[in-house]
Amino acid sequence: MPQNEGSQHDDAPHEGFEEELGAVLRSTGEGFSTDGRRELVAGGLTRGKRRLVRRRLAVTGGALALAAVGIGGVYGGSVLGTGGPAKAAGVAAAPKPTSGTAKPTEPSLEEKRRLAMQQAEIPVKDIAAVIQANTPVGQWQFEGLDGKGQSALGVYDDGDGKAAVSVGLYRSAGGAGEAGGGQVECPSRVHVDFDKCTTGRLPGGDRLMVIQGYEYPDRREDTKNWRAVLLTKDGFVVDASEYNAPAQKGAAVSRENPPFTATQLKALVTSDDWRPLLEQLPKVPKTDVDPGAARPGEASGPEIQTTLRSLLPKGLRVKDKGGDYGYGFLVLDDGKGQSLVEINVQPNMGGALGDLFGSGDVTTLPDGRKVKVTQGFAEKGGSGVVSWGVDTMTPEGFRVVISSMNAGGHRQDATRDKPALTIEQLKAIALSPKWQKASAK
Amino acid sequence: MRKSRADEFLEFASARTGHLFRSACLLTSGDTHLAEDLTQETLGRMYAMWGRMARIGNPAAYAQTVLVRTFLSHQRRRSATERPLGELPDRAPENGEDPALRIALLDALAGLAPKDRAVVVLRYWEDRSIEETADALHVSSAAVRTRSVRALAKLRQRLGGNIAEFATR
Repeated sequence: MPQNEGSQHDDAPHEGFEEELGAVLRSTGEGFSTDGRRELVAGGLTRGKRRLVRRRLAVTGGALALAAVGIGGVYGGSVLGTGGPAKAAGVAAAPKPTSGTAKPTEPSLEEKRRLAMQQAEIPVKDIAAVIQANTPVGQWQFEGLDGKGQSALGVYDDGDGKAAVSVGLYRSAGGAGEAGGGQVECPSRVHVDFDKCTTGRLPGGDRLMVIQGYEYPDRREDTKNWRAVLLTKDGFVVDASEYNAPAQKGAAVSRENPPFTATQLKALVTSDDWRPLLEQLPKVPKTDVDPGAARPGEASGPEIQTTLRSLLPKGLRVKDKGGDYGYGFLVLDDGKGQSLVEINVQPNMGGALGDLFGSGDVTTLPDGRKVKVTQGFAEKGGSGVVSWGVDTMTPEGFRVVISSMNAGGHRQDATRDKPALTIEQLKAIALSPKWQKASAK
Repeated sequence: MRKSRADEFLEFASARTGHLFRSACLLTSGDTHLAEDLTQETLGRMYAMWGRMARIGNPAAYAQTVLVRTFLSHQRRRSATERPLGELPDRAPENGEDPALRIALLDALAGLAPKDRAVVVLRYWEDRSIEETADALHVSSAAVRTRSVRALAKLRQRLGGNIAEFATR
């Protein structure tokens, strides 16, 4: 319902023209036929699954995740909160629970963690002050200076073009994954394009990553995003980002590079001034559950990689590798150029059978397994990149889908005519009984 | 056994896709190809969040918000990539509907800035309050009010008598 806003124009419920407009909008909107919605649902499901794959990649390369999120944490979701860098990768912001409709059950661990994260009440002006004190002299404008939170977003102007700068403070969830050490590891170039990334351990044991990349990993816009992430040995994260544009997402580039050099960014995140602010972050509830952990029956990334390698034909060299629960990738080289091979191994996918195998080049094997072959241009491919894929599912819903490209990574140009593995080889790999054994462990 | 993520999601998507698509058609002022793309993108985002985010209180409403944000971010990088996916059959006007008014409305919507259009769709198609609209768009309530007033003035000017005629029918 419209609210009383006290303005002459909108203080009343929809009346007169507004009411008429509402009626015409509804009539017009409802006039659009939704006959194609089944295709839309199927398309949405496919995109969602791809997104999950990307997210899973992100779990492996923390920096990638953060790069994808851009500036996670500034919108109110936190980089390490429920959404996590990887989990939030697809959305502009973490959803807010709608008050009044939440279920009155015991909050999940994730929920508790999120609540704990939300309770960080550091005055934004304190964060802004530390930023200002640890960066070169310039004009600053910060958002929401009278508010509280655990991040600050400002626009910095040194006279050469305004630039968005943000700093977020978090507690690491520990471990090696996305919420822990993964954040200070450089991503694989297979999945994200960046100019430079360095990582290392500082005297005293803190770890630092500095990456000079782009706001969008696929570089659909040229906005650069340079970041420094510090993970202290006692588990705090200081995450600073700067852009060569005055705002994230969509603002025109205002200068060639973001204003601070890698050294200056490092100086900012490693400043001792953060310490009293970090101490104000609420403690994350202890949990035995790794937020990036497997769903039941999922094999781990290393298991998948190992199985995948064991199934490869002879004569291929592995140039790069990675993976996560249910997912693995290898970059192969047979001497004729690099070729990315990716595989997902997913139990309990029976619900998607119709969407995945409802159309296209599908055959059913004597044991009931469905096999679908696809050959086409790569969705995120650079110039001339093709992707060949074999999708398989058992009658019980155990899915193995493998694809191979004639390039060494997404968004890279073709390095060769065809992928390194033939369709027959891909089929043989996907249909190997080893996958079910690996997942049953 | 617990329903799989895909099953749960499909249930949600089957129920909501029609409405999402129609919202997208209004947001894109009748560009059904783009609307299909936005709808699929929105569903994809919802799927990726499904079950992993702390409970989304109202997934249907949240999906609308995701749609609007997806639309706006698409507008910001519009020239980047546009590829229509598939076709929906052209539709014939349905009973009681005035094709001229429909075209006039879509034209008038097309004349609005994307964010203004988003405000109109959220407030008058989705019936969201000013605060809810502000929240969905990541702007202040004041900004929504300003946009709302501006958009209504423009629409009123363009639609003028047509709309009153429709409403009194």
